[in-house]
Amino acid sequence: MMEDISWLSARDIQRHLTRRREEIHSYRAEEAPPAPLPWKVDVLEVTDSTNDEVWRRATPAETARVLFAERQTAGRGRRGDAWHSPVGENLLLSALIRPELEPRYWPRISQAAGLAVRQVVDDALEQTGSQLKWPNDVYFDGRKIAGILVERRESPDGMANAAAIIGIGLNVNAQKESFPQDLAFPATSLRLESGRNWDRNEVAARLLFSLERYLGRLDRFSELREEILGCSYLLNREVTAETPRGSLRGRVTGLAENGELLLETAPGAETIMLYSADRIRVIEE
Amino acid sequence: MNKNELSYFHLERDGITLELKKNFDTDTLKEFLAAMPQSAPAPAMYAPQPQAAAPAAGGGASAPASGASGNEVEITSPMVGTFYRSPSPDEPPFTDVGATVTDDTTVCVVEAMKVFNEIKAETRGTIVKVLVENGSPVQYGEPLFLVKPD
Repeated sequence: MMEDISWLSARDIQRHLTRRREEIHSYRAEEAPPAPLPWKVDVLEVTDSTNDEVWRRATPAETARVLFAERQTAGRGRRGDAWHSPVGENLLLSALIRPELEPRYWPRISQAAGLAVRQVVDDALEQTGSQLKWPNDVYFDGRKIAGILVERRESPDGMANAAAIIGIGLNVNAQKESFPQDLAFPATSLRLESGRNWDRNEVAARLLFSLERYLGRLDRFSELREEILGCSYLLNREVTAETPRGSLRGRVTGLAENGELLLETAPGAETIMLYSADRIRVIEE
Repeated sequence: MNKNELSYFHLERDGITLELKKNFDTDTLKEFLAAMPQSAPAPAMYAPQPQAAAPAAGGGASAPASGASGNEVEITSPMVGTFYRSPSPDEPPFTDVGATVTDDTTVCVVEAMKVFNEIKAETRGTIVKVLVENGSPVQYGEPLFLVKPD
Protein backbone atom coordinates (compact mmCIF):
# COMPACT_ATOMS: atom_id res chain seq x y z
CA MET A 1 0.00 0.00 0.00
CA MET A 2 2.93 2.29 0.74
CA GLU A 3 5.12 1.19 -2.17
CA ASP A 4 4.19 4.09 -4.44
CA ILE A 5 5.16 6.79 -1.99
CA SER A 6 8.12 8.96 -2.92
CA TRP A 7 9.10 10.69 0.29
CA LEU A 8 9.91 14.34 0.17
CA SER A 9 13.51 15.41 0.49
CA ALA A 10 14.85 18.94 0.69
CA ARG A 11 17.91 17.92 -1.34
CA ASP A 12 15.84 16.41 -4.13
CA ILE A 13 13.58 19.45 -4.26
CA GLN A 14 16.62 21.76 -4.57
CA ARG A 15 18.12 19.51 -7.23
CA HIS A 16 14.93 19.52 -9.30
CA LEU A 17 14.61 23.28 -8.86
CA THR A 18 18.13 23.91 -10.16
CA ARG A 19 17.40 21.72 -13.16
CA ARG A 20 14.09 23.45 -13.77
CA ARG A 21 15.73 26.87 -13.79
CA GLU A 22 18.23 25.66 -16.36
CA GLU A 23 15.64 24.31 -18.75
CA ILE A 24 14.96 26.84 -21.46
CA HIS A 25 11.51 25.42 -22.18
CA SER A 26 10.44 26.32 -18.65
CA TYR A 27 10.14 29.90 -19.80
CA ARG A 28 7.58 31.36 -22.08
CA ALA A 29 8.85 32.97 -25.21
CA GLU A 30 7.60 36.42 -24.26
CA GLU A 31 8.95 36.55 -20.74
CA ALA A 32 12.38 37.14 -19.29
CA PRO A 33 13.55 34.42 -16.90
CA PRO A 34 12.28 35.28 -13.41
CA ALA A 35 14.81 36.19 -10.75
CA PRO A 36 15.45 33.07 -8.66
CA LEU A 37 14.45 33.35 -5.01
CA PRO A 38 17.04 32.08 -2.50
CA TRP A 39 14.76 29.36 -1.09
CA LYS A 40 15.82 27.63 2.09
CA VAL A 41 14.02 24.33 1.91
CA ASP A 42 12.98 22.21 4.90
CA VAL A 43 11.00 18.99 4.94
CA LEU A 44 9.36 17.73 8.13
CA GLU A 45 7.50 14.52 8.74
CA VAL A 46 5.04 16.23 11.04
CA THR A 47 4.37 19.74 12.33
CA ASP A 48 1.46 21.62 13.88
CA SER A 49 0.97 24.04 11.00
CA THR A 50 3.45 24.68 8.20
CA ASN A 51 2.54 28.39 8.33
CA ASP A 52 3.46 28.61 12.02
CA GLU A 53 6.60 26.50 11.67
CA VAL A 54 8.07 28.37 8.71
CA TRP A 55 7.51 31.60 10.63
CA ARG A 56 9.31 30.24 13.69
CA ARG A 57 12.27 29.17 11.56
CA ALA A 58 12.70 32.29 9.45
CA THR A 59 15.35 34.79 10.49
CA PRO A 60 14.79 38.48 9.64
CA ALA A 61 17.55 38.33 7.03
CA GLU A 62 15.88 35.56 5.05
CA THR A 63 13.80 36.59 2.08
CA ALA A 64 12.64 33.17 0.88
CA ARG A 65 12.07 30.09 2.98
CA VAL A 66 9.81 27.13 2.38
CA LEU A 67 8.72 24.32 4.61
CA PHE A 68 7.05 21.09 3.48
CA ALA A 69 5.39 18.70 5.90
CA GLU A 70 4.05 15.20 5.34
CA ARG A 71 1.46 15.81 8.02
CA GLN A 72 -0.01 18.74 9.93
CA THR A 73 -1.65 18.32 13.32
CA ALA A 74 -3.30 21.75 13.24
CA GLY A 75 -3.45 22.57 9.54
CA ARG A 76 -6.12 25.01 8.62
CA GLY A 77 -7.95 26.47 5.71
CA ARG A 78 -9.96 29.61 5.72
CA ARG A 79 -11.11 30.63 9.24
CA GLY A 80 -10.48 27.25 10.84
CA ASP A 81 -11.74 25.00 8.03
CA ALA A 82 -9.80 21.75 8.16
CA TRP A 83 -7.54 20.79 5.26
CA HIS A 84 -7.61 17.07 4.51
CA SER A 85 -4.46 15.41 3.29
CA PRO A 86 -3.37 11.80 3.77
CA VAL A 87 0.32 11.33 4.65
CA GLY A 88 2.70 10.95 1.72
CA GLU A 89 0.25 11.66 -1.07
CA ASN A 90 0.11 15.41 -1.57
CA LEU A 91 2.06 18.60 -1.02
CA LEU A 92 1.54 20.70 2.07
CA LEU A 93 3.83 23.65 2.27
CA SER A 94 4.28 27.19 3.44
CA ALA A 95 6.46 29.61 1.52
CA LEU A 96 7.67 32.72 3.32
CA ILE A 97 8.74 35.80 1.38
CA ARG A 98 9.16 39.46 2.38
CA PRO A 99 7.58 41.58 -0.35
CA GLU A 100 7.92 45.35 -0.36
CA LEU A 101 4.26 46.14 -0.68
CA GLU A 102 1.74 48.14 1.33
CA PRO A 103 -0.72 45.92 3.22
CA ARG A 104 -3.67 46.89 1.08
CA TYR A 105 -1.99 45.52 -2.02
CA TRP A 106 -1.35 42.15 -0.42
CA PRO A 107 -4.40 40.47 -1.96
CA ARG A 108 -2.27 40.50 -5.11
CA ILE A 109 0.07 38.01 -3.45
CA SER A 110 -2.70 35.58 -2.74
CA GLN A 111 -3.90 35.69 -6.33
CA ALA A 112 -0.40 35.56 -7.85
CA ALA A 113 0.16 32.42 -5.78
CA GLY A 114 -3.07 31.03 -7.19
CA LEU A 115 -1.82 31.62 -10.73
CA ALA A 116 1.51 30.00 -9.85
CA VAL A 117 -0.14 26.83 -8.58
CA ARG A 118 -2.55 26.75 -11.50
CA GLN A 119 0.38 26.89 -13.91
CA VAL A 120 1.93 23.85 -12.24
CA VAL A 121 -1.32 21.94 -12.66
CA ASP A 122 -1.61 22.91 -16.32
CA ASP A 123 2.01 22.02 -17.06
CA ALA A 124 1.72 18.70 -15.28
CA LEU A 125 -1.47 17.75 -17.08
CA GLU A 126 -0.14 19.16 -20.36
CA GLN A 127 -3.19 21.26 -20.99
CA THR A 128 -4.74 24.60 -20.18
CA GLY A 129 -7.88 23.41 -18.45
CA SER A 130 -7.32 24.39 -14.83
CA GLN A 131 -9.10 27.41 -13.45
CA LEU A 132 -8.91 29.86 -10.56
CA LYS A 133 -11.93 30.11 -8.36
CA TRP A 134 -11.81 33.51 -6.71
CA PRO A 135 -9.78 34.41 -4.91
CA ASN A 136 -7.27 31.60 -5.36
CA ASP A 137 -8.63 28.06 -5.23
CA VAL A 138 -7.36 25.99 -8.13
CA TYR A 139 -9.99 23.92 -9.88
CA PHE A 140 -9.77 21.30 -12.56
CA ASP A 141 -12.92 20.26 -14.38
CA GLY A 142 -15.10 21.66 -11.61
CA ARG A 143 -13.19 19.99 -8.78
CA LYS A 144 -10.79 21.56 -6.32
CA ILE A 145 -7.17 20.51 -6.69
CA ALA A 146 -5.39 23.13 -4.56
CA GLY A 147 -6.11 25.67 -1.83
CA ILE A 148 -4.05 28.64 -0.69
CA LEU A 149 -4.12 30.87 2.37
CA VAL A 150 -1.79 33.81 2.96
CA GLU A 151 -0.86 35.38 6.27
CA ARG A 152 0.88 38.68 6.82
CA ARG A 153 3.02 38.79 9.93
CA GLU A 154 5.31 41.52 11.14
CA SER A 155 8.65 40.90 12.79
CA PRO A 156 8.49 41.87 16.46
CA ASP A 157 11.63 43.97 16.24
CA GLY A 158 10.62 45.70 13.03
CA MET A 159 14.01 44.65 11.66
CA ALA A 160 12.62 43.02 8.53
CA ASN A 161 9.82 43.62 6.06
CA ALA A 162 6.58 41.92 7.02
CA ALA A 163 6.47 38.27 6.01
CA ALA A 164 3.96 36.87 3.55
CA ILE A 165 3.42 33.27 4.54
CA ILE A 166 1.81 31.46 1.66
CA GLY A 167 0.25 28.21 2.79
CA ILE A 168 -0.48 25.83 -0.07
CA GLY A 169 -2.15 22.46 -0.24
CA LEU A 170 -1.87 20.75 -3.63
CA ASN A 171 -3.43 17.34 -4.25
CA VAL A 172 -0.80 15.32 -6.08
CA ASN A 173 -1.15 11.54 -5.69
CA ALA A 174 -4.40 11.44 -3.74
CA GLN A 175 -6.83 8.79 -4.93
CA LYS A 176 -10.61 8.86 -4.78
CA GLU A 177 -10.77 7.08 -1.43
CA SER A 178 -8.30 9.61 0.04
CA PHE A 179 -10.98 12.28 0.17
CA PRO A 180 -13.64 12.38 2.87
CA GLN A 181 -17.18 11.92 1.61
CA ASP A 182 -18.45 15.09 3.22
CA LEU A 183 -16.22 17.71 1.57
CA ALA A 184 -18.03 20.98 0.94
CA PHE A 185 -16.71 21.01 -2.63
CA PRO A 186 -15.66 18.02 -4.78
CA ALA A 187 -11.88 17.44 -4.96
CA THR A 188 -9.42 15.93 -7.39
CA SER A 189 -5.64 15.39 -7.73
CA LEU A 190 -2.95 15.33 -10.42
CA ARG A 191 -3.02 11.55 -10.21
CA LEU A 192 -6.78 11.30 -10.65
CA GLU A 193 -6.62 13.57 -13.70
CA SER A 194 -3.51 12.09 -15.32
CA GLY A 195 -3.78 8.45 -14.31
CA ARG A 196 -0.15 8.34 -13.16
CA ASN A 197 1.81 8.66 -9.96
CA TRP A 198 3.93 11.81 -9.53
CA ASP A 199 7.35 12.39 -8.02
CA ARG A 200 6.35 14.90 -5.39
CA ASN A 201 9.88 16.32 -5.17
CA GLU A 202 9.67 17.28 -8.80
CA VAL A 203 6.20 18.79 -8.42
CA ALA A 204 7.46 20.72 -5.38
CA ALA A 205 10.33 22.15 -7.43
CA ARG A 206 7.96 23.12 -10.24
CA LEU A 207 5.84 24.90 -7.68
CA LEU A 208 8.76 26.91 -6.26
CA PHE A 209 9.83 27.81 -9.77
CA SER A 210 6.30 28.94 -10.64
CA LEU A 211 6.07 31.02 -7.44
CA GLU A 212 9.28 32.82 -8.45
CA ARG A 213 7.78 33.59 -11.80
CA TYR A 214 4.51 35.00 -10.50
CA LEU A 215 5.64 36.69 -7.29
CA GLY A 216 8.18 38.61 -9.34
CA ARG A 217 5.30 40.32 -11.13
CA LEU A 218 3.34 41.80 -8.22
CA ASP A 219 4.17 45.30 -9.42
CA ARG A 220 2.54 44.54 -12.76
CA PHE A 221 -0.74 43.29 -11.36
CA SER A 222 -2.85 44.45 -14.30
CA GLU A 223 -1.06 41.77 -16.37
CA LEU A 224 -1.73 39.15 -13.75
CA ARG A 225 -5.35 40.24 -13.54
CA GLU A 226 -5.78 39.65 -17.28
CA GLU A 227 -4.34 36.20 -16.82
CA ILE A 228 -6.68 35.52 -13.91
CA LEU A 229 -9.69 36.61 -15.96
CA GLY A 230 -8.54 34.28 -18.73
CA CYS A 231 -8.76 31.25 -16.43
CA SER A 232 -11.53 32.37 -14.07
CA TYR A 233 -13.93 29.68 -12.91
CA LEU A 234 -16.55 32.22 -11.87
CA LEU A 235 -16.45 34.88 -14.60
CA ASN A 236 -19.84 35.46 -16.25
CA ARG A 237 -21.48 32.88 -14.03
CA GLU A 238 -24.36 33.27 -11.63
CA VAL A 239 -23.25 32.59 -8.07
CA THR A 240 -24.34 32.70 -4.47
CA ALA A 241 -21.90 33.76 -1.77
CA GLU A 242 -21.80 34.24 1.98
CA THR A 243 -20.24 37.63 2.64
CA PRO A 244 -19.71 39.88 5.67
CA ARG A 245 -22.74 41.77 4.34
CA GLY A 246 -24.90 38.67 4.24
CA SER A 247 -25.85 36.21 1.50
CA LEU A 248 -25.61 37.59 -2.00
CA ARG A 249 -26.60 36.32 -5.38
CA GLY A 250 -25.44 37.73 -8.67
CA ARG A 251 -23.41 37.40 -11.83
CA VAL A 252 -19.62 37.74 -11.69
CA THR A 253 -18.63 40.48 -14.14
CA GLY A 254 -14.90 40.94 -13.51
CA LEU A 255 -12.18 41.94 -11.11
CA ALA A 256 -11.29 45.36 -9.71
CA GLU A 257 -7.84 46.89 -9.18
CA ASN A 258 -6.47 44.46 -6.62
CA GLY A 259 -8.53 41.52 -7.77
CA GLU A 260 -11.71 42.29 -5.83
CA LEU A 261 -14.64 40.33 -7.24
CA LEU A 262 -17.27 42.36 -9.11
CA LEU A 263 -20.77 41.01 -8.68
CA GLU A 264 -23.83 42.31 -10.53
CA THR A 265 -26.79 41.54 -8.31
CA ALA A 266 -29.40 41.99 -11.06
CA PRO A 267 -29.18 42.95 -14.74
CA GLY A 268 -28.35 46.64 -14.91
CA ALA A 269 -28.34 46.93 -11.12
CA GLU A 270 -25.51 47.94 -8.87
CA THR A 271 -22.18 46.18 -9.09
CA ILE A 272 -20.85 45.12 -5.71
CA MET A 273 -17.15 44.84 -5.03
CA LEU A 274 -16.36 41.84 -2.82
CA TYR A 275 -13.27 41.59 -0.64
CA SER A 276 -14.07 38.33 1.03
CA ALA A 277 -16.67 35.65 0.76
CA ASP A 278 -17.29 32.08 1.85
CA ARG A 279 -18.93 29.20 0.08
CA ILE A 280 -19.17 30.71 -3.35
CA ARG A 281 -21.35 28.38 -5.37
CA VAL A 282 -22.08 28.45 -9.06
CA ILE A 283 -25.76 28.22 -9.92
CA GLU A 284 -26.03 25.76 -12.76
CA GLU A 285 -28.03 27.20 -15.60
CA MET B 1 5.33 53.68 3.66
CA ASN B 2 5.38 54.60 0.17
CA LYS B 3 6.76 53.45 -3.07
CA ASN B 4 3.59 54.32 -4.91
CA GLU B 5 2.82 57.72 -6.26
CA LEU B 6 0.06 59.61 -4.62
CA SER B 7 -2.78 60.26 -7.01
CA TYR B 8 -6.24 61.65 -6.69
CA PHE B 9 -9.18 61.61 -9.02
CA HIS B 10 -12.69 62.89 -8.49
CA LEU B 11 -15.64 62.64 -10.84
CA GLU B 12 -19.28 63.58 -10.38
CA ARG B 13 -21.77 62.84 -13.08
CA ASP B 14 -25.43 61.85 -13.11
CA GLY B 15 -25.49 61.58 -9.38
CA ILE B 16 -22.48 59.26 -9.32
CA THR B 17 -19.50 60.28 -7.31
CA LEU B 18 -16.29 58.46 -8.07
CA GLU B 19 -13.24 59.09 -5.97
CA LEU B 20 -9.96 57.34 -6.45
CA LYS B 21 -7.01 57.92 -4.24
CA LYS B 22 -3.46 56.65 -4.47
CA ASN B 23 -2.05 54.52 -7.19
CA PHE B 24 -5.23 53.82 -9.05
CA ASP B 25 -5.10 51.74 -12.14
CA THR B 26 -5.68 53.99 -15.12
CA ASP B 27 -6.80 51.07 -17.29
CA THR B 28 -9.65 50.36 -14.91
CA LEU B 29 -10.58 53.98 -14.95
CA LYS B 30 -10.59 54.11 -18.72
CA GLU B 31 -12.73 50.97 -18.89
CA PHE B 32 -15.07 52.44 -16.35
CA LEU B 33 -15.42 55.71 -18.23
CA ALA B 34 -15.84 53.94 -21.56
CA ALA B 35 -18.56 51.73 -20.14
CA MET B 36 -20.42 54.59 -18.54
CA PRO B 37 -23.54 55.77 -20.34
CA GLN B 38 -23.71 59.44 -21.15
CA SER B 39 -27.14 59.85 -19.64
CA ALA B 40 -29.00 58.50 -16.64
CA PRO B 41 -29.78 55.89 -15.54
CA ALA B 42 -26.21 54.80 -15.13
CA PRO B 43 -24.92 51.74 -13.30
CA ALA B 44 -23.15 52.60 -10.11
CA MET B 45 -19.94 51.01 -9.08
CA TYR B 46 -19.78 50.66 -5.35
CA ALA B 47 -16.80 50.46 -3.20
CA PRO B 48 -18.23 49.69 0.22
CA GLN B 49 -18.00 53.33 1.32
CA PRO B 50 -16.49 55.30 -1.55
CA GLN B 51 -16.81 58.55 0.32
CA ALA B 52 -14.68 57.39 3.23
CA ALA B 53 -11.84 59.74 3.84
CA ALA B 54 -8.37 58.35 3.36
CA PRO B 55 -6.33 58.84 6.48
CA ALA B 56 -2.83 60.18 6.49
CA ALA B 57 -1.47 56.99 8.01
CA GLY B 58 -1.98 53.58 6.43
CA GLY B 59 -3.02 51.73 9.55
CA GLY B 60 -1.67 51.45 13.04
CA ALA B 61 -2.29 53.88 15.86
CA SER B 62 -3.12 57.51 15.24
CA ALA B 63 -4.70 60.45 16.94
CA PRO B 64 -8.47 60.09 16.80
CA ALA B 65 -10.50 61.90 14.17
CA SER B 66 -13.74 61.50 16.07
CA GLY B 67 -15.47 59.42 18.69
CA ALA B 68 -12.64 59.59 21.17
CA SER B 69 -12.28 61.88 24.11
CA GLY B 70 -9.18 63.15 25.86
CA ASN B 71 -5.91 61.70 24.76
CA GLU B 72 -7.16 58.34 23.47
CA VAL B 73 -5.65 56.99 20.27
CA GLU B 74 -7.17 54.81 17.56
CA ILE B 75 -5.84 51.65 16.04
CA THR B 76 -6.89 51.80 12.40
CA SER B 77 -7.14 49.25 9.59
CA PRO B 78 -4.37 49.34 6.98
CA MET B 79 -6.59 47.66 4.40
CA VAL B 80 -10.14 46.99 3.30
CA GLY B 81 -11.43 43.62 4.42
CA THR B 82 -13.21 41.64 7.08
CA PHE B 83 -12.41 42.28 10.75
CA TYR B 84 -11.78 39.26 12.95
CA ARG B 85 -11.10 39.47 16.67
CA SER B 86 -9.70 35.93 17.02
CA PRO B 87 -7.32 33.74 14.99
CA SER B 88 -10.14 31.28 14.26
CA PRO B 89 -13.81 31.04 15.26
CA ASP B 90 -13.21 28.68 18.21
CA GLU B 91 -10.35 30.65 19.75
CA PRO B 92 -10.51 33.53 22.24
CA PRO B 93 -10.10 37.11 20.99
CA PHE B 94 -6.59 38.51 20.58
CA THR B 95 -7.45 41.34 22.97
CA ASP B 96 -10.40 42.90 24.78
CA VAL B 97 -11.49 45.97 26.70
CA GLY B 98 -9.24 46.45 29.71
CA ALA B 99 -6.30 44.58 28.18
CA THR B 100 -2.89 46.21 28.02
CA VAL B 101 -1.23 46.41 24.63
CA THR B 102 2.27 47.25 23.48
CA ASP B 103 3.51 48.11 19.97
CA ASP B 104 3.90 44.45 19.05
CA THR B 105 0.61 43.17 20.45
CA THR B 106 -1.57 41.60 17.78
CA VAL B 107 -5.05 43.02 18.29
CA CYS B 108 -7.00 41.53 15.38
CA VAL B 109 -6.89 40.14 11.87
CA VAL B 110 -8.24 41.83 8.75
CA GLU B 111 -8.86 39.45 5.87
CA ALA B 112 -9.24 40.25 2.19
CA MET B 113 -9.05 37.73 -0.62
CA LYS B 114 -7.63 35.06 1.67
CA VAL B 115 -4.86 37.29 2.97
CA PHE B 116 -5.02 37.27 6.75
CA ASN B 117 -3.38 40.44 7.92
CA GLU B 118 -2.23 40.57 11.54
CA ILE B 119 -2.83 44.05 12.95
CA LYS B 120 -0.44 45.26 15.64
CA ALA B 121 -1.39 47.87 18.23
CA GLU B 122 1.60 50.09 17.33
CA THR B 123 0.98 51.94 20.58
CA ARG B 124 1.18 51.25 24.32
CA GLY B 125 -1.80 51.48 26.60
CA THR B 126 -5.13 49.98 27.58
CA ILE B 127 -7.92 49.04 25.20
CA VAL B 128 -10.95 51.12 26.17
CA LYS B 129 -13.28 50.28 23.30
CA VAL B 130 -13.65 47.79 20.46
CA LEU B 131 -15.20 49.84 17.67
CA VAL B 132 -16.07 47.14 15.14
CA GLU B 133 -18.03 43.93 15.47
CA ASN B 134 -16.38 40.60 14.74
CA GLY B 135 -16.89 39.53 11.13
CA SER B 136 -17.80 43.01 9.89
CA PRO B 137 -16.38 44.68 6.80
CA VAL B 138 -13.87 47.46 7.51
CA GLN B 139 -12.49 50.25 5.35
CA TYR B 140 -8.97 51.45 4.75
CA GLY B 141 -8.09 53.68 7.70
CA GLU B 142 -11.22 52.80 9.69
CA PRO B 143 -10.73 52.97 13.49
CA LEU B 144 -10.89 49.50 15.06
CA PHE B 145 -9.95 50.07 18.70
CA LEU B 146 -9.65 52.99 21.11
CA VAL B 147 -6.58 52.89 23.31
CA LYS B 148 -5.85 54.96 26.41
CA PRO B 149 -2.08 55.49 26.27
CA ASP B 150 0.12 54.67 29.27
